[in-house]
Amino acid sequence: MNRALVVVLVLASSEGAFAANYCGGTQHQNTCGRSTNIYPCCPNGSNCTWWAWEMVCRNWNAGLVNWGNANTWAGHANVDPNYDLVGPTVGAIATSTLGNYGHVAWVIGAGDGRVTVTEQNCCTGCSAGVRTISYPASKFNSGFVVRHGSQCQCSPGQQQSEPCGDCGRRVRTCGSSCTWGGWSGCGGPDPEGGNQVCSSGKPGVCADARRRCDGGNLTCRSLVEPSPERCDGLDNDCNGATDEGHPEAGASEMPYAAKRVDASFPRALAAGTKATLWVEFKNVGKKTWERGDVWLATRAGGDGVSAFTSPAWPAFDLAGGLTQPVAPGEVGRVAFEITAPNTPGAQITEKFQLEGAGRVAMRCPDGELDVSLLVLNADGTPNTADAGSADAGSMSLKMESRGCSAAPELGGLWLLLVLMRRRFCRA
Amino acid sequence: MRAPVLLFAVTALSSCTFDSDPTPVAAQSSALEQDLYVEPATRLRFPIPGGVMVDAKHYDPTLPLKKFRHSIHLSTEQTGIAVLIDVWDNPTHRALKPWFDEYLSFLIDAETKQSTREVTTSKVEAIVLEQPRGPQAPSMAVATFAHGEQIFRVTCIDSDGDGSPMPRWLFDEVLAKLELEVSP
Repeated sequence: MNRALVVVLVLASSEGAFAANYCGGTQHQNTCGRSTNIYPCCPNGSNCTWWAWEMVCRNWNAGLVNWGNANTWAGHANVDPNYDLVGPTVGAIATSTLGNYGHVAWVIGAGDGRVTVTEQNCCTGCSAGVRTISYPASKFNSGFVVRHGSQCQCSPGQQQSEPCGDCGRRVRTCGSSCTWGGWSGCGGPDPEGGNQVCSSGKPGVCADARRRCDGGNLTCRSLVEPSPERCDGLDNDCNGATDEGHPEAGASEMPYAAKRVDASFPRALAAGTKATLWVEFKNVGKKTWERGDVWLATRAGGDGVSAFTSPAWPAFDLAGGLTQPVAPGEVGRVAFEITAPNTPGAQITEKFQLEGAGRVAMRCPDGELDVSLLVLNADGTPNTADAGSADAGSMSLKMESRGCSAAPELGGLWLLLVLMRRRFCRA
Repeated sequence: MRAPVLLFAVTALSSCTFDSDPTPVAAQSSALEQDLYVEPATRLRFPIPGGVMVDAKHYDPTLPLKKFRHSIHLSTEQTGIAVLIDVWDNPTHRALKPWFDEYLSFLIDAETKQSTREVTTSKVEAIVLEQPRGPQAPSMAVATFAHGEQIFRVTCIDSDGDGSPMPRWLFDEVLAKLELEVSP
């Protein structure tokens, strides 16, 4: 072959010699940028692939590449992102792998399990031309090809997921009508299998927390939710206070738990004078209170030195102890001396706390004693400056201990006189 | 992207002797004016003879993995599309055979000839199918191979040279000289 012939071959060769612009009585219409229908026309003057290719060109303005015989069209569409395989639908290429080379046709009607198609046929003895015919949809066993996104958003059964929130994903599934179903709720696994420790910012039992993926967002969730306060040494209600509010539930399980049952202390005391107070607690815990283990401690603020401190106290912050052991269920008494400070007119309130071995405070149900008294002049008379103050007098009663019977609120000098006569109260 | 490459036909072809057997053509193709085409998304590089146009399409990466992600069409004015290079993502490095069996086995029927062949400058083994023309469709040759996280399918339209020897020659040329994982 000489060079001139090569030039002729390269420059003059048209698309495949089998390609035909006329088949089945139909002329190719170039609405897809292809001057030639790439498929051949069979000896009988028709070809299903030629017709289907022509319909794609005319209806979709797309020129398919060589998808081979009809029995491979669905396979090509399956991997081609430009196309989807769906169920019977109008405006689709119906495909079948049955027979020697399969069959393709153009769908113009669909419903009730049938499709109406236009088609040509390539077979010996078949008549040439385009015909319209109705088939059971199942005849097209390899599906119906549509343009991607034209009628189908997705392939039935296909799943799609996307991230949402901090840690979640949401998914949606393609329905049988090849449209996407709704997105699922956003969710995801907890970080580190739910064992990632975090700070809840809450006190008490609520402090222990783990990182969670809640609704797709990272949260720090307490392992324990707030509950009514119990007598267990824990801050059950997560309010920052432990065993507050005199809870009784759980006390019997505590090693040390006390319930105040009685107390006696003066409401007023002359400056510099001494008085003996006593308070009785019931042992509602598990352990016996041994002498030397259980003490009544002061809860003075500041430097911790009580305003009522007395030389008789065993320690600067311990007012007194038990005189004998107290078994669970028994009542023990602590008697102790106080000295009124040299501050006539002062209304002093101080808290005392029963403590067990190791100085464990018996906060619940009630191991406390609040002492409130008015300091009188050294001669026992009310301080002049404060004598006229109804508040000073009434406060001495208002600030009563729980174990001390409350008198009606009274005011003025009359009250102070009463107090001077009856310096002690008892529950 | 459409990248037409001018054909210096007279100079180029004056040294060519195209024949029904494309081999001699390929052997003498070094005399053809050729540019190197680099496709950045797929990191492919291959020589483009004069007169061959390249059109690359890239598809939604969120589509199912069975759909190819890139498609490069090589065409000439005379033959239309002659060679296709379709590229799939293969993030899990699936072996070629099971992947082929799952997605492309539909290409095989009783008339299909199967073989293997080393392709690309990396000498990757490809599954090659030769589908003769039948009453319904033109002939076709398909070479499929895996490399890295991608699967490649190079298709020759009208491979038997019935219309023109050019598609087959271009198909073989691409398979032999295709470079993979080039830096864009």
